[in-house]
Amino acid sequence: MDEVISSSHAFQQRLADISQQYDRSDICWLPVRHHSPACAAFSLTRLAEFQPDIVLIEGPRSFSQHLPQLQRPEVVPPIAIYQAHSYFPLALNSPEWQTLRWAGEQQLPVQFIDLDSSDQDDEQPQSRWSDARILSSEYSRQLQQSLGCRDRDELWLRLFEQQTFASATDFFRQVLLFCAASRLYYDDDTLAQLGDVAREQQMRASIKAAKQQYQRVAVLTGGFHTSALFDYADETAAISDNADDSYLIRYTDELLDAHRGYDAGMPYPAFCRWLFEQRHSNAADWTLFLLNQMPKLSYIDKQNTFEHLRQLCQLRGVQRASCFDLFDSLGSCLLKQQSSARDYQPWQQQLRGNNLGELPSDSRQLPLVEEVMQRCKQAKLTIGGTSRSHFALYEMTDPQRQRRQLLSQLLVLNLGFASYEHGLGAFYNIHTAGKHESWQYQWTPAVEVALIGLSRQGATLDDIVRQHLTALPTDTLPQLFDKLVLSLQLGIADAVDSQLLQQYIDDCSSIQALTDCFIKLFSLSKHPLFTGATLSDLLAPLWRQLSFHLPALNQLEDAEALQLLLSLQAIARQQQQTLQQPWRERLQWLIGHNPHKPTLWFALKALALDLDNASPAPLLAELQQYSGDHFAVLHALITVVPHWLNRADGLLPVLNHSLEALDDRDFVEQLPKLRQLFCAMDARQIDGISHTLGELNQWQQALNWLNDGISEQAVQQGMALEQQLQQTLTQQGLRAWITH
Amino acid sequence: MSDTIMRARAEQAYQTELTQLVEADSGPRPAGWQLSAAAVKRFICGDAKLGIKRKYYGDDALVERAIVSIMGNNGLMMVGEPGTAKSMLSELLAAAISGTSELLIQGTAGTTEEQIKYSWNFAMLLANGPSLEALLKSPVYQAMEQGKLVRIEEITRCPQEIQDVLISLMSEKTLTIPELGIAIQAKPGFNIIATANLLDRGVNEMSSALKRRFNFETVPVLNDVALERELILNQVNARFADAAEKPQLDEELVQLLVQVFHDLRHNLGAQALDATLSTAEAVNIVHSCALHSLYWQTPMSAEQLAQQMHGTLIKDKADDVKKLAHYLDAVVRERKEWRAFFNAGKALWMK
Repeated sequence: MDEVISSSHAFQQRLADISQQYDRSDICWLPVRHHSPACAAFSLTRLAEFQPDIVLIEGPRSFSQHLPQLQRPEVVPPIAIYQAHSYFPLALNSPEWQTLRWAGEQQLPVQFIDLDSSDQDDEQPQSRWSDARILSSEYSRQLQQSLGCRDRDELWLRLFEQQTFASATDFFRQVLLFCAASRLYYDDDTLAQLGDVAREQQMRASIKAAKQQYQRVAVLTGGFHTSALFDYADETAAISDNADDSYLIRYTDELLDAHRGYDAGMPYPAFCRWLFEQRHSNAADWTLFLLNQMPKLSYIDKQNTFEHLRQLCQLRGVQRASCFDLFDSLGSCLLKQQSSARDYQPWQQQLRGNNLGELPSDSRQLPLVEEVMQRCKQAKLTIGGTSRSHFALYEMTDPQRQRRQLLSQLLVLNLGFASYEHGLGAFYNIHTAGKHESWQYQWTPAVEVALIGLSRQGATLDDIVRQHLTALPTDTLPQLFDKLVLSLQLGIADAVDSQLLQQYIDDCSSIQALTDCFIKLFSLSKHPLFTGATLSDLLAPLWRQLSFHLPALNQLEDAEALQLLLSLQAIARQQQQTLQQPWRERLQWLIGHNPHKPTLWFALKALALDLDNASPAPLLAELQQYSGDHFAVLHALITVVPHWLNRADGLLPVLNHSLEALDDRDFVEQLPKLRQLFCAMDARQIDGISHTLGELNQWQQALNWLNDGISEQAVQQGMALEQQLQQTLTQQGLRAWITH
Repeated sequence: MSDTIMRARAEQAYQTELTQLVEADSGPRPAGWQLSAAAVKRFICGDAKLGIKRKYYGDDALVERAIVSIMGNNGLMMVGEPGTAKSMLSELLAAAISGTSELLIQGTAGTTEEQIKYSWNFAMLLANGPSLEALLKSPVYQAMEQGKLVRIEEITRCPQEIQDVLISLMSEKTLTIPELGIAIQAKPGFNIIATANLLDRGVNEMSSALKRRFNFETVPVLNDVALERELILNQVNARFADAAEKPQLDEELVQLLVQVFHDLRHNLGAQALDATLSTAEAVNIVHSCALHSLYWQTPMSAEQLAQQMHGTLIKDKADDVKKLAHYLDAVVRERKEWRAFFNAGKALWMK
């Protein structure tokens, strides 16, 4: 550190003053980096030496309520206390954790002395314990440069985790000076803006109060704050007691990792844990321990890496290897190629860890979390690990249905717990043809926090889901219908009042809405999810209303009307017993009573004949006599009864005849429409049509519409021509020719 | 010395520093090394207290890994794009560790086994038969005999069967001379530093057996703009150190060039140039501009910079011109203070 400190006399003097204040104080100051293994270990040493009457820890004042829980032996870190969008994680290697556990064993009082977080705070979530102020300071940057460290974490490890110190007091003096030097680069305005001034005021007031009551006081805070707390005796502000609710939750290694966005974290949580646990082992045993944690290392690999790492640490002047040294040696000895960041990932994953904290089941009183965890256990959903779990639904048994309902509820509430394989959109529009479903889910601390947040809306999960359903819009029949489908999936069948639904159906006069609902209802009623549910009961009233409004068919676009008719005909064919006769009667009524456009009249007539499997010949004879646009009618007929193209007395002779009557100019004009007529057909249908055309026109050779016998080069030429043709047509404003 | 030769070897150029380090070095020296590992690092990465200049402008960690690798049983293989200072680093390591960097084999397609091991003075061989006097020692032979480092540049340019000659040398540390019925055993301090250029034949074609005998270090391109600018200025100034007249280097233009290289390396994705964009290329460009400025008596200009870039970067890849044009159009055009460079580049690449 000398290189930077010596740059300014005033700077050096200020640090010397701080060092003196530290030495002279009758308080045991423990300036730490949160989650630093060395700070955790030396805190224990220093506390044992000092034997305080009380321990004060940087953390929201109201967290003291969690101490009885935190000090129970069954609690296994990583855990976190959550308050107002902020997490305060505690790992095994956190000085705060070790200190409060030590105090618990010694039966000493512990107080948290920081301001509580509240929703009104301007500061970013998770920034309370952020180390950015010390590690990203200009001072730290200069030290990195002069010591040849690649980043701030390597600098911290090099200075504090990999060295030996004469005593715990000496260690904390060094930490204090490092943090104080960084702090000197910040002015008062910046500190006030960061919220540090108010927080330090609270900490000083708390220390002052404790000092009046106890003789020997130990204060553990982030090193950045410590030098600002020395003048606690002069503090005149009162202790603030405003507090939001806070909760103890399980936490994960992944969330603790500084590389994953936790700005108060150390990199590689598992490595930090080992560093703390193995702090008494010698350098060789520590190196060997690290190498044993690495996956797939042969004996020779370990031997080479061990030697390399030993010499690297010696060259770098450190006592014990850090994660940076380890990766350096692994890379040098084992990567036999140009290396990239990806090559290091398996080792990094190992050092990151995969632990999930544990809280005693009898002590958890988190609103809603308990109920949901209980229900997850009942539904046999895995929530004990940190990895993502998979749920495949092949058969709709009762347990499977129950599991799906729970997953659906948690998905709808957007907790980040469950995801449906095909995305949320597909969840609402269930694939009725799908043979099975696939879900993924993962229990994370964020899920617990989201549930805590939701608990303000209701006491149970069902209540909250019900509220969610209530908030859905129900202005139209389709909206109400969607709500019904969703509520059935969520296992809350009574969320939609059946009388209200009946009323909506009776009041709906939109043929399009009625048809959509009817088609959706029909397909869903066949889905195993809804068997036994009330959906099939709605088919009859919906059909009644739909058939009453069918004469409004004329108001739709031709394409929409034809599609609608086709769907209803398909349903009527499937529901022979209940719907075929009413549909037949309705068709006849429409043909006889409604003044239709010619295309629709022919389509209705064709559907009626087709329903009875009657010959199309009389209708087609009528078409021959028809003086209007033959092709529009043919288009409608091919849409609703495409299989008539394959009949000898079907559509093809009529089409053929109509084409013969055209002159070249009209034929070219009709070509785009004709192309559209046939482009939806498959190869077998096209082949049948080409044969029939050959027979009808007595062609000598069959139409060679397949690509057999065409070379690859010819196909490529054809494709190039097609592309050219498309460009030319587009340029000439003839896009209609190429639309499918 | 500098009056009579074009380029001094590292141990010649930095003789004073090396002597100073040898005298001040109190650390443990590996067998056969003239300096301790820590002093070798100080020689390469610099030491302000001892007045040792920094010579390699990359990660200190890379230098440390390289030193430790040479201390071990395996050789050191440095891989990377052309112009990333692999050869310079290997020369510095050899000069600091062995006191000489002259034991060098340049790998080519025509490198033979004799060049790796030994050959004969055929006149003496025919006159007197095989004898140690008639034997011509290769750099590897000499390194084994003297306990020093030998450098093999561009090892992947050598045919694979020639590369594999090194396998037994590296594992047994012994060179057998069957003609004389003897074997030379390497003295402590012997090791091999090889370099490989990834743009030619990569290390993938090396045999696994040989790879196993090397520790690999990837030497990256410099990512720090400020550091690269400082390095270029130092290197170009060093080239004019003994010149009677010295050019006035335009630091803003050097900054512009470094930023252009940085953009072209990192920010253009699929539009990245095929040309090598190493610091060595940037040094050559600035050096050429400085020479032009010196001998034509004109200040360094953006036009000159663009022309030298064209000459240095555009080799046989026609697409690079289009990519440069795209870069000019999409990036340089927006930077108003780079107007002169834009106009010069436009004339060259956006015709």
